[in-house]
Amino acid sequence: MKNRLKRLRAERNWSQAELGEQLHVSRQAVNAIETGKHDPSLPLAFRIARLFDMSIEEIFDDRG
Amino acid sequence: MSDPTNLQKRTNRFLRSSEIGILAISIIFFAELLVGPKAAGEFLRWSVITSYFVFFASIMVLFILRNTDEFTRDLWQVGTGSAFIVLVFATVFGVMIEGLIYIALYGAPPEKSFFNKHIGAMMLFTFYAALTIRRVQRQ
Repeated sequence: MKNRLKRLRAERNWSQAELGEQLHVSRQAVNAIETGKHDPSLPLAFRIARLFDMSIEEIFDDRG
Repeated sequence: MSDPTNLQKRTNRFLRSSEIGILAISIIFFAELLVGPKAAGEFLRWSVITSYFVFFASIMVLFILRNTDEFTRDLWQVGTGSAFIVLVFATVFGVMIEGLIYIALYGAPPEKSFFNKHIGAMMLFTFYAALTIRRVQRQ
């Protein structure tokens, strides 16, 4: 699934580890989500959306 | 939710444990299946015994830390799922095909099935191999 996580993280100058700490997941999990190799669970998608103060649809795109 | 720094440490520990585990199970797999316990020399025999202890520690760490986060849970599920598929194919199709080949060649089924004898090692090797492949794909 495509997502804007990498760009949103870069805008805030956060490392993957720093983002992982805020989301309570590992750096490897953040990397897998950013590269589109792993789709986050619904609870994690909500945590990501809340952290960036956006809706899930604004961050994740399931169309292609 | 657990402490984030601790969570990263647990994930790293899970990954180190999987690396150590695949090394140990590879030694066991090679020695037990390819060389055979009788043909194995003294050094190889001790390597296998040591590997069994290392493997046991590794699988325990993996089991305890499997739910650390989504990444480790995904790796664990792929490993166990793949091992289960191998179990089904080896016990159903493997034994059947082996029996048919033996009957065709010797007129009787084998006394001891290769698949029944080595299913444990095959499953464990598959578990670690699938986990490692998934990890490489995810990174």
